[in-house]
Amino acid sequence: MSIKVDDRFQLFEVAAWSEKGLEALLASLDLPLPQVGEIFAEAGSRVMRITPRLAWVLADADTLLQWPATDGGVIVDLSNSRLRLHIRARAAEVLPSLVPVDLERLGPTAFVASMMHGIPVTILRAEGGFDLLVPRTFGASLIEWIDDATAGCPGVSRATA
Amino acid sequence: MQVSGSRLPSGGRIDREKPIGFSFDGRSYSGYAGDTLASALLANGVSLVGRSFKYHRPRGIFSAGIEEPNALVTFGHDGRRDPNVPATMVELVEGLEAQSQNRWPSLGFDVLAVNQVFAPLLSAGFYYKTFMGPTRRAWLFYEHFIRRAAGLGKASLQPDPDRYDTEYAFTDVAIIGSGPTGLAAALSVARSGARVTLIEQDGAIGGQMLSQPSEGAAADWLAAAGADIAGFPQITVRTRSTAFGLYDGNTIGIVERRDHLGPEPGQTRQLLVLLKAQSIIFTTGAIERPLLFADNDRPGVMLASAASTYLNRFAVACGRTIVVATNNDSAYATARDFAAAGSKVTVLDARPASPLADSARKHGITVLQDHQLLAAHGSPVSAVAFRSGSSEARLSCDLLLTSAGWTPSVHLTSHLGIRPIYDARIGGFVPGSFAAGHFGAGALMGDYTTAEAIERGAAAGLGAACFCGRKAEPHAIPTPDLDEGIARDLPALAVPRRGKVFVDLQTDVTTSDIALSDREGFRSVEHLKRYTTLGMGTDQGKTSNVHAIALMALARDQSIEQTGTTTFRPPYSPVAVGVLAGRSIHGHFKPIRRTPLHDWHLRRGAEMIEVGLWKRPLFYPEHGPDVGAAAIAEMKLVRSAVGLVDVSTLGKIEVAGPDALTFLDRLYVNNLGKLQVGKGRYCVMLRDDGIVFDEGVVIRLAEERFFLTTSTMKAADVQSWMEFLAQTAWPDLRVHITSVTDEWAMLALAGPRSRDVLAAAFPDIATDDESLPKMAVVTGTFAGEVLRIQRVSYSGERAYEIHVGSRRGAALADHLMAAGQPVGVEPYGVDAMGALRIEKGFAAGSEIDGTTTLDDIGLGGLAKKSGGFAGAVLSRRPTLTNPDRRRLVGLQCLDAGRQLRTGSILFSEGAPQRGHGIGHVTAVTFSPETDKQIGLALLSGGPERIGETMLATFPVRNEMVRVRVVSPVFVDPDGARIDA
Repeated sequence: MSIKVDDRFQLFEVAAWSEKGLEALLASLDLPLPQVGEIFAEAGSRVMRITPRLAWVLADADTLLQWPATDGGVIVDLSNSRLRLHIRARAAEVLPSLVPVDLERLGPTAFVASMMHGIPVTILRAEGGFDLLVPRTFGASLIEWIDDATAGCPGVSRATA
Repeated sequence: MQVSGSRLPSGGRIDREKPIGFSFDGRSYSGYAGDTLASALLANGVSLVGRSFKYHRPRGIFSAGIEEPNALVTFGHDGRRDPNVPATMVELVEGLEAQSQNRWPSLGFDVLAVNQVFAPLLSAGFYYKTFMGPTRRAWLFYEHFIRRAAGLGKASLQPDPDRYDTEYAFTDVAIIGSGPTGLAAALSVARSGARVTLIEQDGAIGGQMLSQPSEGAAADWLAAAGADIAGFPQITVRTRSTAFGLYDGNTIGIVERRDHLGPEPGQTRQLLVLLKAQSIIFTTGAIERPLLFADNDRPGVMLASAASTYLNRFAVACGRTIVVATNNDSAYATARDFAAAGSKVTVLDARPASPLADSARKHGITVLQDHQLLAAHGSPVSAVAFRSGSSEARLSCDLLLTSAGWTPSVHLTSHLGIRPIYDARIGGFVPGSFAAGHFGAGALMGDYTTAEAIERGAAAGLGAACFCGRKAEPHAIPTPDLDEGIARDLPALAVPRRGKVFVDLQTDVTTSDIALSDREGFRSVEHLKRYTTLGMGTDQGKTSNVHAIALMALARDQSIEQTGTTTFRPPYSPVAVGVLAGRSIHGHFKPIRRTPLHDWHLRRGAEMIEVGLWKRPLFYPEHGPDVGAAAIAEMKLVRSAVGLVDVSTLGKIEVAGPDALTFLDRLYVNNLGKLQVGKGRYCVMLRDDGIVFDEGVVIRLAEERFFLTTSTMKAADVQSWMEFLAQTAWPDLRVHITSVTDEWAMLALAGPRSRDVLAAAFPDIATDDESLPKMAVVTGTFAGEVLRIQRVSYSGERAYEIHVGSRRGAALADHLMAAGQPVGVEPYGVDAMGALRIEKGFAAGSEIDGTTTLDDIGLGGLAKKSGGFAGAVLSRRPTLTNPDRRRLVGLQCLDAGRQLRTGSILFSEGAPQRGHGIGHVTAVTFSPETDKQIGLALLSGGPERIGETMLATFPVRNEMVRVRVVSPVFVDPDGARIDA
């Protein structure tokens, strides 16, 4: 299994006082409003609907996001607050020992917020594995925890970050 | 190696090509792959395997499954030693070492067997009645000896070297038990396309079918069903997996044993599986219960079904001259099996007639109807006494098998709150009504024939599949043609009046104990359980509960329904603590939280300390050889020049929205109405009971946007409290709350030269006192990231907090160190930081301890005079405004060379030193400024006692120090330094 740590991305929390407000905020960036628990992805950015009135916009570091004035809601920059762990190669064998999530039922356009070792994480299916958004300050600890988990999976090589 | 003739030359489900060596009590034996420790011991002619709990009576193997009350062994050695494991559940592996337990010096000669002589004294409640005096403390004396004599196996005191793991699993339908019912259910569900998880505690699927002859209709059916199961990829079969508990959300706790794989490095020995299912089918079967007769605990007494298992599955004939004593038809199959194996079999049937009697006689079995078993003789058993009419007689035998019916395994359904109901038809309890999505079938429900079990299992499977939204069609599942006897319509329980009749074999509870309990007034079955310890052993009374309830009903002259059952709670069978802990041990006991400057601190050689989940630099050894010396040097550095400290651990929360100001004004005690953009304020919040909750700084970043800090330890709690208020108390406010603790790195520059460093580091940002007055904030950029500088002090010195995105935290620290080099900036750790705040008399976590009010810690002046805030009403309770409350003061140590300690209790000089005193010390440090040990304390009367001398006692170390009560502000009481 492999873990690649990525901390060069943009992450914004977008909240509004109504679903229409949230839709309008995202529309100003030409982004649609997906269903709760679903992801809309296009080149360079993804919209993740967390709750009816809250979404995250995850974008590559070089994607230009021109946020409008936010009368109808709030935009909080969380780009420094998370690390993105790209977990690849037999990730599906290791993750069941780490997160209480039915990964078989996690569709390609879905994400799930869960807990790993008591720490909140967000899990997205990715090509060849999964992406985890983890709190930056717990990042190193969670990588060690994941690495230790691989030892309990016969035939899976230790995770390398 | 010892080999015995008990093993049959052919048959069984063992692999004779794979012999396995093992030892029991240091003696070497051999068995075969497929054996359990119990079957291998029986094959080797070992009949004595343990000693009983209380009387140390010799005990043999009684059952063939998880219900085993007698054959508890310790297996493994050193850190891998597991006590109290039923030999019936230990899969034989090469080199297995097992020891008997609860005996000394040996199993054959156990000194404490003398307890049998005193048995009449050791009745139920013996300890409670006997060890009550002469004083109330006498028990503490007796307990030492009683504990040494009591108990079963001993746990290892060495660290467990094995790995235990956890798995979160999901399925549509979970089926607990893989007997014919479970297999039929699994096939039925799988045909609908739904995911199935089949949970089996045995090493193989099949349940009771494994105990049928290894050739014939049952074996053929099982092979066919097994092949069908294997053909469905959506069926996950979990063998060696015991479902030990049912929990909320359809979560099943399962322990999967992997001992058979050997102790390879990294190999998980046991796996805790938390399986979440949409629907659950309970096919947990039933457990045979024994007849009651005198000396029914002798080695050589066994459940009839267990003997069949040993004979048919493990090819072990446990006896040659066999008595099968029964009150039902199910034991006739055992009699037939043994007769077919060449044993001489006599059936003592308590009933006047049985439909299977004639058939049995045709197999050469002697059937004696209307014969009551009275007692076993010999150890191991060599004869039985029985009564027919008014006459009594004896019969020689080398194995006594008994059956008094079957007890459905309702434990797991009971975990869900399903109350067992008595089914007189089978003489046992079955589950009451299931909730939607839960199904029961097979022997658990009293469906005792294989055909019934398969039919009902398939029906349950269809129901579960439909519950999961699947289209399910009934499919005929063939049933094997078995000549079965059924345990129904049982006669009343017969209890001999002579001899020692054990009801609970594991905890040595007898019929006399139950009668005594009733005579002494224990009317509830729950009280009976606790008074006698019935059902409280590791087997949880799986073979004894129904008998005990029936005996209690008999004694109370009431029905079994009226008597009821005890409560079944998890775990169904013992679970090792190691598997519950899983990987959360040693370095992974808890996650570690590292600040964005963690590596920066390590590069500078910082000595790190755990603060909650955080790792923080305690001190930097470059400033002194130990924490005391280094911290003093670091404090002097801050007071005389400038120091840099990492404060990234502070909780950070953004609050935004049109009503953000209103929200914060209600949350904090302070009046925030006039807080201007670009300004901050030190603020305090209360709990709703009026007690101080937390403190921090609120910065107004924009008209509708605020940034606030919390104490390190309360960050999560404060956020929860804010969310709670926003969502429940003030849902009309348009406010959004986001934790940004991980977003920002925060550094504090403190000391009279701090502005010099700032000016050198950020020449483009105006940081003069006019541009950046106290509590003000200015912004800029650093390495392309937003930078904020706020003038705020935690030490009493001029100080600034600098915020930058976490990615740039270490770079910012390097930048400040380089810019500050000319004025001698150095980093300082949390020990110095905490000591500096004590010198300044700032209240922190040790004073905001969940008991103090604003006035207690000298912050009463912050509260707004008009307008409400959370906690305001209850803060005015008389008990919180009592002038005698403990309030913040400073302490100065008067005894040179003595240590003033945090937690010390304060007494007035000359007052008796009893109870909790009149105050306690909350924080201490050595103060370089005053060259004394100083401290903060919460003292009744508070500032009114300034000038008094007190005694600070530390009873844990029997220490006492004289202290003088002083102002809590030891440094710069006028506050001039903050502008220096």
